[in-house]
Amino acid sequence: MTQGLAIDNLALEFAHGRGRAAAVNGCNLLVRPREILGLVGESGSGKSLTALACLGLTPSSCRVSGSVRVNGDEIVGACEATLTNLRGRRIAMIFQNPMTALNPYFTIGNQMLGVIRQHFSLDRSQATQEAAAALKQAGLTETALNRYPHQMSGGQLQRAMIAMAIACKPEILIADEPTTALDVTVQARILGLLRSLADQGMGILLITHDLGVVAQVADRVAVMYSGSIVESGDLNQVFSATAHPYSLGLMQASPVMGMGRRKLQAISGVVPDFRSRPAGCAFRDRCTQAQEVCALGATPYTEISADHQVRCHFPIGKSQGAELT
Amino acid sequence: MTTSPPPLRVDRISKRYQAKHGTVHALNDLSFEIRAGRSMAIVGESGCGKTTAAYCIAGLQPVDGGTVYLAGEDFSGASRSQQKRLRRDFGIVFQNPLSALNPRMRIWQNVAEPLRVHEPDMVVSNRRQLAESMLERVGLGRQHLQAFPGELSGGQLQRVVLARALILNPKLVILDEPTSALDVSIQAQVLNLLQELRDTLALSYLFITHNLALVEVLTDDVMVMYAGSVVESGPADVVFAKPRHPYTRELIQSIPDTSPGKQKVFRLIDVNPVQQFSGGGCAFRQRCMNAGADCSEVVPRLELQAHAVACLYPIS
Repeated sequence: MTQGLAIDNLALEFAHGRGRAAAVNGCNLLVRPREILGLVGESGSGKSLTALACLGLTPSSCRVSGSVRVNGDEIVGACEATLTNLRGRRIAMIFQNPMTALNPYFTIGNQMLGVIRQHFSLDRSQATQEAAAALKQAGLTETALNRYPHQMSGGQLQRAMIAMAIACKPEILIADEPTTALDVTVQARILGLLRSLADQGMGILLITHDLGVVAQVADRVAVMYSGSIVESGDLNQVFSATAHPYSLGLMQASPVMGMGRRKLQAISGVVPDFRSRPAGCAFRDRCTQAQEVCALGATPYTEISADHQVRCHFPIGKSQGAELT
Repeated sequence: MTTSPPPLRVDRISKRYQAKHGTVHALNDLSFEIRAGRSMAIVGESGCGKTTAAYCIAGLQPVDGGTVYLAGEDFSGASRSQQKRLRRDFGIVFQNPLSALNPRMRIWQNVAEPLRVHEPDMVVSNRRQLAESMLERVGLGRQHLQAFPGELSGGQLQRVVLARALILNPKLVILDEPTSALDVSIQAQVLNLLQELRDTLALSYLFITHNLALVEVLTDDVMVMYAGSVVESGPADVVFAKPRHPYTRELIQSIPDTSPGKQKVFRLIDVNPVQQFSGGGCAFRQRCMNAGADCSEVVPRLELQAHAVACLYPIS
């Protein structure tokens, strides 16, 4: 049995015309306990849909195939009762916008007790103690229990969301852009909290579009483009020996402090819609390295090193990648 | 020799809102000047007043005190017809391009709209021609002219908004978080375009952003705002290399560093949201590690020098 969250050959397809179009295509990921895996990609790359599939929350119009296992237990195709037992208890999720993810009519405490008492046979006062402990772990005080969502700031609400997600001590936590709506100073604290949760044994899938966030807290990184993982591996290896032209493009397009008035290296073109994705490598229209072979069939994975894979016919050599830093 | 007046001068503008618990001081005596060909960025967290500043300067909200001068003329105190005339002198680009464009007008009509307002005598074919050449200038081809905003991608739409902002040949463009709704690869395209337009058309930008890494790409000077007041200002490279206000330093340190292996030690203390209800003393003192006893009594004033700070105990 694989420990942690194992995603194998996951495909998520929607009806399109007479056939189907895959929003996510053959995605393989592994989140081990005590580890943060950063999943990076731009809008429309399929990363949020992958997160939803991990909790069995994909829309009914979506056809799911492949496998998602939480410490050995299969999510894909599981019945609603099994999923209810898993969600919150074994695998939990933090959503991007805490303001819309929480119910404005109920206090934070009320919403937390709902989750805790769903999974444990505790009375009200015991459950309240559990909720208070989780809030404290997330850096809030007990007073948050009696607050309504509108009475809290964005950063506090995101902490409350995290407290709710960790209240039942799940093995896996999925954080979908947890800091995108927050200021940088608050973001730094939320990232610190995620890191300490991982250090205590949780496996975390951190979804983000910000490479800086990944570099800051993740142990491993996977880059997603148009529904497939194009590069993945150990954080330091992927950043220092970037092999996929798209990953490198993302890094060069991100502005960093102290770069002055230098021109950014933009990637020309846009992410293709998954319904009209070109055959072969989906990135080839925007790629400077692309050749004829890129249009033919699926691109195989290549091992760059023991813990570093890339899906490209012409991966960038080590020397070029090193220029970045 | 007479020097031409600066494209924008802001003199002690303030803005207050009445709230349930008291008065929110959204802007406290904001003063600055953008000289011809220079650009200025305002940075700060949500609720610091940077967007209010942009709105007050653009005349989209009335100021409660102080004056905004556009090219030397009083804009904030002007009559409606004068304001309309002065509005020609600046363009504005908002955060979300889709909501900034009229969804029922074609792209070229959206771009030509300022001409319809300010040049009512111009014939339609001329307007269309100008819109077309401006769209070409921002990198959009003829095939998009007849499209509706809903058919274009976010990056393309932001180019359309930019074309509209530039069609009256302004010298000043106000950019309110122009790239925060865009993906990073598209953001780079738009930033490069903004750089190129600034240099070829000799534009001045007033750039509102929460992303410090973007400041140096587009502007020369920076103002850091906290709770409605400027806490530090100066040339961007100097301020970022040697921040003097504890808040500026905290902002800079909070930015994730893209080089792995340099993972930071995080602090886990809870942050009070920005305090905007007026009281004596420095608004930042509760979050400040340098705060002394007198910080709760004396309101620090912004120094009058190139790299200025408003703090009783600046970092030396």
